[in-house]
Amino acid sequence: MYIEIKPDSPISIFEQIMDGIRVAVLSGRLKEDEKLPSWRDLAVELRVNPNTVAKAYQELERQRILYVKRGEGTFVAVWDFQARERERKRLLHDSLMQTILKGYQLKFTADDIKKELDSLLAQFSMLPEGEGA
Amino acid sequence: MTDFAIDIQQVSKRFGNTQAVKELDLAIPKGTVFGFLGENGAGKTTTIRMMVGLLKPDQGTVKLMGMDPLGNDISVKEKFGYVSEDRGMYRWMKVKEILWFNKGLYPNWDEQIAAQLLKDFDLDPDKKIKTLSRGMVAKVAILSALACRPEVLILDEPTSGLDPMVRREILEKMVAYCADYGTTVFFSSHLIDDIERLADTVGIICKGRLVIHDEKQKVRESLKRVLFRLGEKVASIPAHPGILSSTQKNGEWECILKTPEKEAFEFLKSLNPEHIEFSEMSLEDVFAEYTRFERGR
Repeated sequence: MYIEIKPDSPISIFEQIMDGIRVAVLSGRLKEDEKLPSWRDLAVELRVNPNTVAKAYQELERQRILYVKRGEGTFVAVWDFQARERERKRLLHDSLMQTILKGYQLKFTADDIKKELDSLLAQFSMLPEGEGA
Repeated sequence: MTDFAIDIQQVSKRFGNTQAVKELDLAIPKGTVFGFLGENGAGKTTTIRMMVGLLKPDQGTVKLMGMDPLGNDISVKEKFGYVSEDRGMYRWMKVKEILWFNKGLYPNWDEQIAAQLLKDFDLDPDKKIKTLSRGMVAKVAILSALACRPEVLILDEPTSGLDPMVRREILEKMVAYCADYGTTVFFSSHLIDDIERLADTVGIICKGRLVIHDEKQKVRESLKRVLFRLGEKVASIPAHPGILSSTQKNGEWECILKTPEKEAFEFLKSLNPEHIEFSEMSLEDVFAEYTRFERGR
């Protein structure tokens, strides 16, 4: 299961793994009830500390994004619609927030940022309009 | 039983006029991975040699799994696997002879691990060490260390000078071994990428002194970089206990603050900067700042 790891990013590897799995689940790349690689195998594949992968799995299990079947492994949880929407929105918020901060740092006004976003969205005609994927 | 796999207390070592290691304290909990950062000559290898019993400290104590590496009880040697920087091996021996030689020395030698790694690493057992490439020698060294089934793995620059493919293979095997056996790992490196990937905790050594030892993320967050411009020309930023260093480039000041950075940041704001902002620091930046600061002391 490929997750992009950037060792020199200011985001910790623990968070990069958490985000990678979360996005894979929310985008449908990982299906409900699909089995994940063991934390050991994922650590070897990504060449990162196995404790870090185990901790990320534990945290995602605590957040009910993953579940563990004793002796069988770790699986993608089945989400109710509302929880999934909430989580998708949260990820979008986080990522837009980064953009807004960058915009303010560059001394753009809220209107400037809105206009830029609208014009970019207009170019993206392939995005499904007005419906949640 | 102690909870620390490695426990170093107040260790010093001097070579002639050079203080190689000074009053070093370092305790590594069992089952964790410690990354030891330092430039060449900072004291990494000297520290490691004292840990494995190849050097006697002038002062202080070293305990490995609760035992003295210089003591009479040689069973301490079975506790750890060690790969030295030069990966010292008899160059006239064949790969299979080296393995046979190590098997005789280490009662815990695991034939299965050795055979598996020989295959995964694509090593020819009939080749002589002196005919092998640098990467192949590194693989034989790591194979030998892992097949001893050590409780503590001590690696001095395990991946430096290796091509990316060999480095990748060695990291994969280290990760797999740690996951399977819960080994404690102590590895030194100047490759920050490897430390970022593998370490739970990080220590930075400069001029023989350990300047910081903490969880990786905390080490990274221990310094903050602030960029600002001042309206009037000033020759230097007044000293403040929270400021590690300040430099000026093209009219822009760069200050490195120690965390918690609040007080020093308020102090900088009191200088009426025109524009002030934080900028991200990578582990490499943090390492460079500590090293630069210690060099200037």
